[in-house]
Amino acid sequence: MVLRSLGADPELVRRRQSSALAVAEQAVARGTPLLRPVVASANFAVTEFRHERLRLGEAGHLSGPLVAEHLHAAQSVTVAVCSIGAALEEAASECFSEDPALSVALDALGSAAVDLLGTAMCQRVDLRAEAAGLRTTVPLSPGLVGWPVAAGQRQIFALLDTAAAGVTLTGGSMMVPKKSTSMVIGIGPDVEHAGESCDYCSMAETCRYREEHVSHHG
Amino acid sequence: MALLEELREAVVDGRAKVAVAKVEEALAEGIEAGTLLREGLIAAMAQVGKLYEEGEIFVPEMLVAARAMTAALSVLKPQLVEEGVVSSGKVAIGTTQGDLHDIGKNLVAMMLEGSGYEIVDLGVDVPADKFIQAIKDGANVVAMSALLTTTMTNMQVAIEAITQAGLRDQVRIIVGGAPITKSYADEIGADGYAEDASSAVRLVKEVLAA
Repeated sequence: MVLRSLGADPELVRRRQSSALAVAEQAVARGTPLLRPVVASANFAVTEFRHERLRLGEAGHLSGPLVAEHLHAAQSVTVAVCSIGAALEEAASECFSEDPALSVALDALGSAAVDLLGTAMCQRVDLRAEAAGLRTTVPLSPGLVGWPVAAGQRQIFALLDTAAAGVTLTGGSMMVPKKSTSMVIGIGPDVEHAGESCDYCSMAETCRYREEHVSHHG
Repeated sequence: MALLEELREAVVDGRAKVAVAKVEEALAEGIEAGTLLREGLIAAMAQVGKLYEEGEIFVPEMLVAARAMTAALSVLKPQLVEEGVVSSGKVAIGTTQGDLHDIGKNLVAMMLEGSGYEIVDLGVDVPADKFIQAIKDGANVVAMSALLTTTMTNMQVAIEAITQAGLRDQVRIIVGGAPITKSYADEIGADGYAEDASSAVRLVKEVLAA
């Protein structure tokens, strides 16, 4: 997964360059103990949908064209922020001057790990919904086309106690720790699971990770 | 020259200890540091960049080669200073204001250094006035990185500030990062856009020659 997150074909790397594979393995060995997975999530009943705005009772709201497109039929939404903590990314930055290959491999491990965590979160929501005879939407994250990062992150962070999970939002709407992901999933009998998250990303055409991307969509 | 070829091979293959040994051997034999830099390390990294852009190698292999290059360069640096070898240009690089991502920026800096450029790494969350100071301190190229749609707008802020400071004609400005495109780079008045570390090296050479 580390090699794939670096855009490499693991089989080709194994055949050609054992030192690159060794770097990836070293990253996994050194980085895995630094993972501190944490999830802040909550489920909110939808009380009203009007003018691209999904009201969640007194808790707050979600709004935007993408929200309207996918969540208009939702009975409830699960909102989540997932993070692997700061230890791994700090280790990656600290070791760059000494070993840039290991540094980037650690960073790739972090990307792979937070993606897996997000996927696990989505699968959990899907299973619970299925058990209740309900459907789920594709997971939506701020930054997808139709949901600007700044607006979307502010809406999500207003709904959750993310500080307890150790995740904060900078003035520029960047999550800290950097290896964090946020998402909203609509739940209900009439929602549609239209495609996958990558379909709504502005970089879908050029993303080199898309083919091998282990993503948090169903 | 066999030693130069062996040095190039060691760097391309990512064999850091061999690359260091070859540099030491070559210096002991009286080969000039400048020659080792140009025909050894820079030539090797150019080959690495070509292999990467052709899809023959991937980021991990490029990094392993860069690691070997960095190790060899650290041995060579004192000699380069002694010989008065000048760099191909001075590049001030930083992640734009509000953004804390550094790995990609560090990668570009490393590849540029391996290609003979002097690097001034301004770090992350770099405000416009730091880029301006770097230009006043002699940077011919400013390289800006952004990884978020919310922070990439600060690239335009920095370019406008550089223009207002009367320094735009003294510097070439290149930009890169996940949300950046060539059309965005053109829109904000940058001189070029690089989609990865390898093409950044080629771009710096092009903009300095222009």
